Amino acid sequence: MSIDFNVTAPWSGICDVTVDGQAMVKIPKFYVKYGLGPSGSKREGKSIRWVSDHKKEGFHVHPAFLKDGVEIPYFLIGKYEAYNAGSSKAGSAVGQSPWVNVTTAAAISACAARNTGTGDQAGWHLQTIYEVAARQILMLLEYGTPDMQTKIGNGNVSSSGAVATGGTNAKWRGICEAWGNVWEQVDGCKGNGTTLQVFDNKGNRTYVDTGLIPPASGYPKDTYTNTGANYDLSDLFIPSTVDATASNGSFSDYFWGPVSGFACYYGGNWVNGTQYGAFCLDFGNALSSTDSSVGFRLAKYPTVS
Amino acid sequence: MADENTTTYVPEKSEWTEGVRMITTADAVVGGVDGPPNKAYAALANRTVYLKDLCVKLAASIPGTEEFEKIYAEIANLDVTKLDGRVDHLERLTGNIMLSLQAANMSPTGYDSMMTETFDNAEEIDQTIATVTSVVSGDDSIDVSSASGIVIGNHYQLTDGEAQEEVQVKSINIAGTTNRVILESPVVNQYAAGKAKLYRSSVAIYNGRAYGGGSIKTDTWEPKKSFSGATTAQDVTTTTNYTSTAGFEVDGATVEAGKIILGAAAFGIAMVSQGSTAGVWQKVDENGDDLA
Repeated sequence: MSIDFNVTAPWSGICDVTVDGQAMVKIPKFYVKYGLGPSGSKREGKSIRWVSDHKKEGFHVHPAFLKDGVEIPYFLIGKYEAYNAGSSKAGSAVGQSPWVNVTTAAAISACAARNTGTGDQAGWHLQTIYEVAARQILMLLEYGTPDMQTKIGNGNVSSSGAVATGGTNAKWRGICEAWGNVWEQVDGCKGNGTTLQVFDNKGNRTYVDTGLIPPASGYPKDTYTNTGANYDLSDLFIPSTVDATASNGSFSDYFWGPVSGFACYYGGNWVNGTQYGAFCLDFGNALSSTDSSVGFRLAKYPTVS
Repeated sequence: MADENTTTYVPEKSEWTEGVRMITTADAVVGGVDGPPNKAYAALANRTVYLKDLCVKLAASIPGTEEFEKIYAEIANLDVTKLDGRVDHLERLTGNIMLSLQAANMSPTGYDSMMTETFDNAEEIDQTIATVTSVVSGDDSIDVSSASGIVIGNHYQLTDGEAQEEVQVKSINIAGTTNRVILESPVVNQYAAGKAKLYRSSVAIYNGRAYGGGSIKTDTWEPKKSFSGATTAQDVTTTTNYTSTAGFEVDGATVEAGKIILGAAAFGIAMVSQGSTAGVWQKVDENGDDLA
């Protein structure tokens, strides 16, 4: 059976929307299950990640669709990398210069600055590690490979600088500059020293300490599946083992290992070519760092009635 | 006119003899059967008998003659019971085929419905009706108030006015007040107690006319309605006391926002092996088997 993802949920429900004047992409809720291929199956014993648009036995809602412990029907992700829309507010629009040279805290504040009321003026935030991972699992399943650059386009990964938003071919289901151009800061993933901390998986936006120290830089071979109180790293794509040789990697992208108190950057910028991509993470910069190649992306929760 | 000595009669037989021999001058007068003088008489006698037989046959076609009455009596006394039986049997077979077609909603091209009758006798429609006293879906027997008129091997319409199906009688067991009809195959539908009947013909006879069901094919299904006849729509809406979906589960489905979602699919991605720059991955179904 071949899947037509254009008519299959949740992919079929991904669409452009404009909220509070910002160009966003709606990602519908879905459920996930992780485990080994069942006995007697073709992929018996292999590590498998399943996705369903409805809750089924053994599945749980992906944490990107939990807010304060309550399931939300979707989240919105900026169609474009954030730009400075004035009044300290981050925006999402085509043809804008990405907002760079901000710390992670400043990026969080710029996104939250849109929360001036209720409804469309509430729920704005910096994209979280779970919202990144939700896109990653959907891309991985749709294309059957993590190598999105080969399947879709390299994006702006080998040039002399960032281009205006919407100007690259790294576009997945309406999300522009899905990789490359400028790094995107990510909330919900940081270092306590070099120990990995992630947001809890109930949508409370509180950090939990995993006790894990991510590997040094290299090409990821596999990702964490560790679980603990209020976290399940199978929901994410954080490298657990890496190799110095690209051909020994399994995700087609590079991983920059952690520094103390690391921030989480995603996707890559305009410099390092195919080391960047949809599964590229950089833990090599502190939360307080800024750089002209590091920007961020808006996200928004829907209003939960 | 009879002679006293019939042994001297010229032998005669019923045939038309060609020519009557004439005695010539050379003929010697010799008696006997082959004697030339008697050959002429023999020829005339033959012709006379032949003409008489012909007259008798002609007389048989004239009403009032003895021969006519005799033949008429023979015809009237012929036993055609077996012939009737054969005709009836052929009509039953034809009727069964037509009933099967009707039950399958199959009609000749250009017709939107068909009436069927199963003749038992050539001059009347079999209007056998048996009241069913007990019928259970899945059982291959039904009890009727009387088995009178029910014929083994015949097909009947079993209906309570709501559901309907065609059944064929395999055997009939009568013991005391129980009249049990054994069917060739189990009953499929469920029938309202006390309302089911067996009908031999699907044609209703009243007001001197034959009527058949005709509007089934033009009926349309409406949500929350169930029907199996033209005018028997029934509400299937029911009310539950659930105030949330938490305690309401449906096998093979999920309940969301008051809707039952059937057959939600799940797809997976398996990491077949590490390495090769981008790893080896395979899309799989919910059971871990490969998808294209």
